[in-house]
Amino acid sequence: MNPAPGGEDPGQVINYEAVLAHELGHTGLGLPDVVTSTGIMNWAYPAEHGGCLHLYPIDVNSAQTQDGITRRQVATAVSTDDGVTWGTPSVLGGQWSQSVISRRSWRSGPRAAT
Amino acid sequence: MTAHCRIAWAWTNNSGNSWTTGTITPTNGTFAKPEVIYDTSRDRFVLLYINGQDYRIWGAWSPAIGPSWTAPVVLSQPGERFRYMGGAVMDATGTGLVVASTGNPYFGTRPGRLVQMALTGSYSVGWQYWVFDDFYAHITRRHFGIARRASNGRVLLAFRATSSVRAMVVSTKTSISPSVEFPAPTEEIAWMINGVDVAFNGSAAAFTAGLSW
Repeated sequence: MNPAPGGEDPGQVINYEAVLAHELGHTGLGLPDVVTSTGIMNWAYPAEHGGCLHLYPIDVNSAQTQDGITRRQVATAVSTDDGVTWGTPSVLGGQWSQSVISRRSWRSGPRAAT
Repeated sequence: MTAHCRIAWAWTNNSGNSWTTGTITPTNGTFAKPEVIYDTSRDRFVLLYINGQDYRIWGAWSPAIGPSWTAPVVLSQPGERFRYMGGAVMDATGTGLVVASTGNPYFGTRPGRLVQMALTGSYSVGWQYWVFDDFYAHITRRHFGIARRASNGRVLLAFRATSSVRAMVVSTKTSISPSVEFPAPTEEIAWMINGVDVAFNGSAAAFTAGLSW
């Protein structure tokens, strides 16, 4: 695993299962990183059997969780305009929430990081 | 061959206060989210799942009035393999749409690409069409969801994008035909962690997404 530029974001915690999957991509399937400085793995390189195994190497972003596994929660979000806009997710059975709405246009084109 | 999770059912006629339960047999199990939809035209519940041995979509159905499930049968086309179940919607005439993500590389396809198929007759799943026209961009490695608003035919698809874009991504269309692609999706809710499912609430005229966060 190569560190993300600038190091880890504050508050992010390594997901060790994701790191393991990533490293297995190297050792088990021989996959290189697309860009070594970001740790983004090139799944397509010679992994003839990677897809068969359903073992998907994971990049740095997915090797981290926002607040760690213990704070994962189930939430609902509602749209009353056929999916055009969405309300802030409401966490079920808990008070913890934060504004997370982020509407962006999809970045089209080939995506190296999968 | 690896044994996968068996599929269980639960049926209630009192708004969930009590449940009748059982298992679908015989089944080779599944590694993905099973899907159940209500077929208005035939007053049935229809179960769809990805078979754990052949990676094809199988199905079973039961009268809605009480659980009496048929033996599962294969529904999808030969040679097509799937990994993650999206879901299915059906209109009042019994015409349906199924979405899933691809399994092994197939026709040069990246694993995890979203595909859509017709759910027809009683029942079969047609050949797959791409959900989006962008060959590279749109894949998922989580179970995802689809829902339909009957009043205007709007079909909403929501999924967690690639691991680089940890967001709930949404697209809608008004056609239930699998040959009609969804328009390019938009990222709506950031920091989504796992899979997502969606449903339409008629009384509130709202789509609701359930997600892990």
